Amino acid sequence: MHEFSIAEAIINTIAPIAADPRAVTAVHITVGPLAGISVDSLEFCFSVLAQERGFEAVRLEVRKTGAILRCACGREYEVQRFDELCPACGGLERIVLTGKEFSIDYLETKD
Amino acid sequence: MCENCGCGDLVQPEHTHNHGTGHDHHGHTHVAINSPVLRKNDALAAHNRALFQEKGLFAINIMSSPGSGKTAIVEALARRFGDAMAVIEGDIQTHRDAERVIRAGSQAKQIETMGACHLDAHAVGHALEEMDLAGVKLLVIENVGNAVCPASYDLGEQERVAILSLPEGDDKVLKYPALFARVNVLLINKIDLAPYVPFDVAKALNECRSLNRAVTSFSVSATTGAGMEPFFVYLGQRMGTGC
Repeated sequence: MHEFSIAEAIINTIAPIAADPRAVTAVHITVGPLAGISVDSLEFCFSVLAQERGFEAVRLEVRKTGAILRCACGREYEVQRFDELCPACGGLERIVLTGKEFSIDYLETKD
Repeated sequence: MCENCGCGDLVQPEHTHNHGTGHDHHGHTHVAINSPVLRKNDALAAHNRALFQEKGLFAINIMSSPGSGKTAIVEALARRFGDAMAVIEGDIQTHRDAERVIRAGSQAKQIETMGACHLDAHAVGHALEEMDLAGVKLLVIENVGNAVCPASYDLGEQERVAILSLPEGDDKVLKYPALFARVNVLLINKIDLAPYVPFDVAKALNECRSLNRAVTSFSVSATTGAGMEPFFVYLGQRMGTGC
């Protein structure tokens, strides 16, 4: 349950950028399946902390990406779950190409 | 350290007020950030990493569930490496692990997180300030027992070690993919219990390799010492090469 620390890191990053916290309507983040983050927990922690820090109207917009895997048979496929085997050969011998993404992308503010 | 970490202060993002990237979208504005979420932690980890390099230390971060044998492994390392090793212990409370390591022959600094489920680069940086690292070649950071949260935090270590013990079951790797996808070494511990608990070592290793082709694995028993020698040699080689 480290999502509260994560929510705090997000708020601490956006706070110096937002001149008026009340004008921030959304924070857009990207989360890959290997980020090790529970999005539901993060949304909850973020909403609590955002209110406390004066971001009254902000919502957390989460873009959940998949992980792209390359199987030994040559097939590339995308998963959210790592117990999914290769759809072409059923194998588990593969390389993880992406999936660790975890970034704050942009803010949305009202004019 | 505090001049680096600015304890308690908000970190100013490097690209603060980058007005050139803001643009209008029908009554609202997008302000680009494009920053790793844990950028502050990553910056402090880079500071720790630079310190390790400056002092010629090889640093490892050991992560696993509670009870898998992290401290027993570290005790075995302390008996082997003695004064050439220093340990940072992470726990919610108590100094029990640091006391065990000191009794086994290495210096140890305990971090009590008082609730936090993981170590971060900030806590490790401050622990390092209180340690005498002269003559030390191997720094072991034993994370809080938890197979989930510690994986998200870079502490500045050169390598990450996960432990999976036989009583936990051979199905755990794909249940905790974020951890096992990030480790350099997988220690399968408590192999002395093989006659008593079902555990398919090849299955656990194959699943770990499905997340992480480069992982190196050792099957060990910290209690009996079985299989530990190849792991000692592996660490010795990395310490010797100056990492």
